[in-house]
Amino acid sequence: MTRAEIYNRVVGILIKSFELDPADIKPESRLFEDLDLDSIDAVDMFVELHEVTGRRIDPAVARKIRTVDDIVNLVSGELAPDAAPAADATSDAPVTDEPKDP
Amino acid sequence: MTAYPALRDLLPHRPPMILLDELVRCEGPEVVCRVTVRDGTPFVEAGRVPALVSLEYFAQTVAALYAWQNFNKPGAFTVGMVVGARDLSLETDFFDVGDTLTITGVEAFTAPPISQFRCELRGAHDRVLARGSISVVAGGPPQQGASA
Repeated sequence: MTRAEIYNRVVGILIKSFELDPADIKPESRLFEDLDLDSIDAVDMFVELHEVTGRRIDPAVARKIRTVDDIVNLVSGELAPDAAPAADATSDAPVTDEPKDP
Repeated sequence: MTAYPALRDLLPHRPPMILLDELVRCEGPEVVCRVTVRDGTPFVEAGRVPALVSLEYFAQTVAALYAWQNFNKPGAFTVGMVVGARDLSLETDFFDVGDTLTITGVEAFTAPPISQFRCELRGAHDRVLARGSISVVAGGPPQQGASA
């Protein structure tokens, strides 16, 4: 799968799972700040990504994901031969913040 | 074959809100519970229970997994709550009194304290009657009013 194909697949997941407007999704879009996802949405997203990669996403890697491009990097890394866990994201802040009371 | 404790000794729920009869199996990320629908139990009216109660069956099945994983670990016992459900599919509107239902939960992803489980409920002849995913938050000491 090419990077462009991976990007399109990721965008498709975001649109289908979270009913986002395609026009709002850009490689640099931040999942939480720009696309208004929350930590529960992130779990849904990683389950969907598992369908793409066929591999369980390492939670430690998942916690570093911040942008759409980070997801593409993660999937690219997971799909690459001899892949080490991907994610070039740099922040160490957790993806799963303390949940709000339902 | 593992002999599991009674659910009343595992779950934070108290009767009559323990809706399941038994923990059948819990291995790795998979848990199986079973219940036979009976008159006089919560949500049963006119001899049947709405299939939407499957969500609570799913939740208590997943709770049984956490409870078993932390059994005999004082202070480690987790309570939790359902924070989301996805792709819930019900193949029937009601389950009848006398139906035996087998509920399976499989962890699909976890990033503590949040995890998602794929769940299925099967009835007679192993027919799938309900399926869906639930996201749960688990962890921390028991808190009054919380349930998985």
